[in-house]
Amino acid sequence: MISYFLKRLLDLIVVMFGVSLVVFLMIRLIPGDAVEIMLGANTEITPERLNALRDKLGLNQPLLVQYGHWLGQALRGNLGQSVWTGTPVTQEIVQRLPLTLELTLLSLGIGLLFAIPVGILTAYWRNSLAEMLIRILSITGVTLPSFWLGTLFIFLAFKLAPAWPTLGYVPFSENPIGHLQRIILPVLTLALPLLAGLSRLLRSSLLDLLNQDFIRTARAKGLSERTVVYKHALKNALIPLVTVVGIQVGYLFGGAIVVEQVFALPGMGRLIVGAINERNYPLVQGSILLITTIFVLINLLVDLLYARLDPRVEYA
Amino acid sequence: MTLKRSLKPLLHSPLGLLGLLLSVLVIGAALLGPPLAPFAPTQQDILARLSGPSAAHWLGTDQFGRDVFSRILYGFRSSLEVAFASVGIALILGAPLGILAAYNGGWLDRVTLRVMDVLLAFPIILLAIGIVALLGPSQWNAALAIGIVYIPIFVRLTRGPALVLRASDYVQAAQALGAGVGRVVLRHILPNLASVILVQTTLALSTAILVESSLAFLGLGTQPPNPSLGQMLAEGRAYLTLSPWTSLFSGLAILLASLGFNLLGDVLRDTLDPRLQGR
Amino acid sequence: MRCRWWGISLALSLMFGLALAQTPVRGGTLQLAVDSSPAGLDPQVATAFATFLITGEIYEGLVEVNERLGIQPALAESWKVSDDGLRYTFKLRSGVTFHNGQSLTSADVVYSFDRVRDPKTGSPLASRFNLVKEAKATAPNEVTFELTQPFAPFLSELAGLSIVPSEYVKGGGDLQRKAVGTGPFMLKEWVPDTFILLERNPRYWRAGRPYLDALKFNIVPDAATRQVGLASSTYQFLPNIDPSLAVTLKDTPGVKLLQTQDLSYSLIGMNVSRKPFDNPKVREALNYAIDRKALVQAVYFGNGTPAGPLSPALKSWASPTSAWACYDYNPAKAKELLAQAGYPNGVDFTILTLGSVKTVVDVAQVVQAQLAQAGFRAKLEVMELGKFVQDWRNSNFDAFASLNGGSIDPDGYFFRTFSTGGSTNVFKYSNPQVDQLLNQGRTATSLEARRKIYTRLQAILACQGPIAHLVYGTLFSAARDNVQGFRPNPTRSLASLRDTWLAK
Repeated sequence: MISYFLKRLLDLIVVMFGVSLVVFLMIRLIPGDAVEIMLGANTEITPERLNALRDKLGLNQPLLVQYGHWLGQALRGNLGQSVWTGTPVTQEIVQRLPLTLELTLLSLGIGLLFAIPVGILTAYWRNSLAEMLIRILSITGVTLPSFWLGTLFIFLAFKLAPAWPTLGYVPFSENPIGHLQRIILPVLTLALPLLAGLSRLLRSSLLDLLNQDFIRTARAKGLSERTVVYKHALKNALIPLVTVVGIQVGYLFGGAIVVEQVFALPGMGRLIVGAINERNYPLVQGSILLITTIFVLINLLVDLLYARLDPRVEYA
Repeated sequence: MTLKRSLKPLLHSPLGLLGLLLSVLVIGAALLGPPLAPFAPTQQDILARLSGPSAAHWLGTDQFGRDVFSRILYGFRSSLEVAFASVGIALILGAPLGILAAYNGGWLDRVTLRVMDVLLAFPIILLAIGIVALLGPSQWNAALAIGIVYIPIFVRLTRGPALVLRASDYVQAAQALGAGVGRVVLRHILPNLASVILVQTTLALSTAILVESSLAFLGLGTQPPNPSLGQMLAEGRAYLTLSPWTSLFSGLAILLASLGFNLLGDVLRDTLDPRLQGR
Repeated sequence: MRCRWWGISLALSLMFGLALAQTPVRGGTLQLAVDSSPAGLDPQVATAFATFLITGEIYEGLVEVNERLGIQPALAESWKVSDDGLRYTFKLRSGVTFHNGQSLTSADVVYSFDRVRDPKTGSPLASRFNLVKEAKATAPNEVTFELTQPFAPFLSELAGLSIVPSEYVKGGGDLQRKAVGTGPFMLKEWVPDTFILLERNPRYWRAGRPYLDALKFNIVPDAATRQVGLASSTYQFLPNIDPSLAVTLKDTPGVKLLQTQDLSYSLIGMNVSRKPFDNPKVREALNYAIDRKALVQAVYFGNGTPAGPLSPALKSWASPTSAWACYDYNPAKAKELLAQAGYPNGVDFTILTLGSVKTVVDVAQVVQAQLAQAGFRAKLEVMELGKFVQDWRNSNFDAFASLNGGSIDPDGYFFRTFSTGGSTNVFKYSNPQVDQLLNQGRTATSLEARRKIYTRLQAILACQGPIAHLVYGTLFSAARDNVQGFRPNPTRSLASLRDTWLAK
């Protein structure tokens, strides 16, 4: 177990190194730099002025030197400063990350919370018509475009409950109720497709298990169907659910980019998209590095958890 | 289970039929739609703008009085072009890479896996946004971006089974008889992977349609005035209270296209790969 | 000057008092929603509307442009111009303090001017003061500007010079993040991509102003979201909105639209160093091929006027568009001109389109359809600001579609845009006759002489210039019914928020 963990950790370091290189090069190869945007369209076009500003921001150094410098600092926990405001990148991220984490975790929580009863209930419902309906509904749920769903929610909420505050952002510490009121629709927008996917997964693994030997044995022993389902089948059926959580977090983050835009929420998604548009190199690099690290760590955690939950997995 | 035999149940399952029907409808609309479309997709008629469904404009008109129905037909075409091109790129690069990595093992395998891990470390949309920003927004750059992002799917998909197959008796036997790498892969490994690849391709088409529409929604896909579904939806949202039709129907169109391929892939998975039954 | 101004302001306050029949009340926070977050708040470095929306309430100039586009005193209470037009002497208002408590002195004004001129600042305003020799503090409350040549638009350019506190900036104060001005509102809190909160400046020199306790600028990128936000009273004021948003908000209960003539205009810029637009005939043909009236309907929902080189808001300068033949939509004539220019089968070219402004993308789509009728086969390339600015700056385009902010003096726009080597002459346009007229126009002192010069310039530029001016839209702001006292300004300035109050 420990050697497996160490091996995975080593892989992770290699991957993060690759990620840092990809992020660094990608944002720099996008045409136009921060200086161009800073000076905007209504200004003197003197190459000297462009150069002076680039010097100030260290953009005239060779790429490799810039990369080495950035990576060296990043390893010491210093992600640099925002080109535009001079704020430390870590500080900008600390301001934004909680909201995106909240969105992602709440959606995940709500998705799981409802997926489990829905999965169990629908597992009981086994005739072909039900089968079809569930399947169509769940696949529809999975394929709903989040930007469409979000828009529909905003307008429905406005038509049905005009007084309900749907938009904007209020910190939890300032106004807990207002905060939750505003975050519920974005969370639902993200959670609905998740719920559809997870409940279906749970249902199918339950059905698989109910046909397996150890369940048949349990039934043969005269245990009630209830006990069979809850005690034996469910425990095992949750394992595949855990494994997809890692993938879902990535999906949720992608969804958050769009949802934050639609609901005017100041999270990581808007931070990154905004930073890309402004060519705010340190900010893009720092925040993507952080997001991918979280993402990779979650996947590692899920793998380890999976290994613990499912005794059949070997630490290869 | 061979491919041909296993496709039969598709036609016996109502859902499989529905998926097939939707997919055929959407592909048909994309192929035949343009000649059938009642209007040119960029033809403007300001006087008839933002109208609801009528005899002249079956699905209403958009902000410039362009026919939404015609634009959706062309939008299907552009969505499917991107979806097929991107999944094609991912398949053509990913599947051989996965098989070769598994077949050769060693450093090729390790490097491939690490590179795929790097790609997988990014949320899909984010990486696609970055690549499109790099290349400039256009329909084919969106296809390329989604293609790159999807490569790991096919590498992972093929590598595992290929590893198993490599160790199997008949591949070992073929090698012992002096068959080269190419021959073993083409004759023995690939056919055995055909069904998993088919299932995954169909499902990837479904999600690629969604990713494409997200990119187009963010302005990173097909460029106006040429229609794409995500971009129509984005344009229509500005007029949602005046005339919800454009965004409603283009949203439905995205859903329909994605749903069709997803159903199809789902039923295919049941019939081709009993271990992965979705039910 | 001083007396006259007081007279006007008295008349104005009477007029508004009667028109609204309501007395202003103090207090309350105005919730605004704007589409983008400013990148920084330094008013002397900024180029984006997003920044000026905020800094306009924090900073003031010596003079300001009112909603009728007249120049009125602000931090200077009066000024004198020497007879030769080479010396401007401003008397500063007494008792003005910056938000950090320091009093305004002539040293601050001189420092602000020098800072703009310092190449290290990178201020886009620098070139506007090319004809100023120096600024001197001639007394603690008096500043004198020496000019090298008479420069008629000097006062209107000066309105754009925000006065910053010299001690604060010299002491390392960061204007990009911590704004300190003399204006009616002070920066309280700035959470990027979320909101900017300005609070009332209790020591503001205009007695009793501002009425509001605070302004909260919520950053809401999505137009549909802003719309619902205003309709549901989450927000109370949407300044300077797209015409499409104005149309969707028109009949919303509890919402009113405030409007004025916009100084900004949509345009197609053409690169005269490249084929096909190197040929003036092709540029003329393009003008013939654009149906501006239809464009007003299609993009502006009827709320706009076809644009000549100068905004109709500049009543004393702008020639009527009926003066130019090429403003009569005539695709046949356009084809004929194209054929004469050597393109009997039409031309292919690309229009770079600024994607971050919806109106521009809409204009480009409609123009493209119109041009197609006349043999101009345009391909649109919609790009975000960064790439657009880069290509624009490097003249790397056949043509581009954009929205430009206007100036209140014709020189402010024409000189940098059309003179050979002008700072925003990315078209590489060069016309000796235009250059000569432009130099005469900025140094002539009599209004009559200047008018004649700019009438000629408009005639030269209208049909064969490097810019096809398209539409001046109506500038809309949308507000809840209880938002009172705001007067929209064609320059898009929100300075009149100091006179705005929330009715109970």
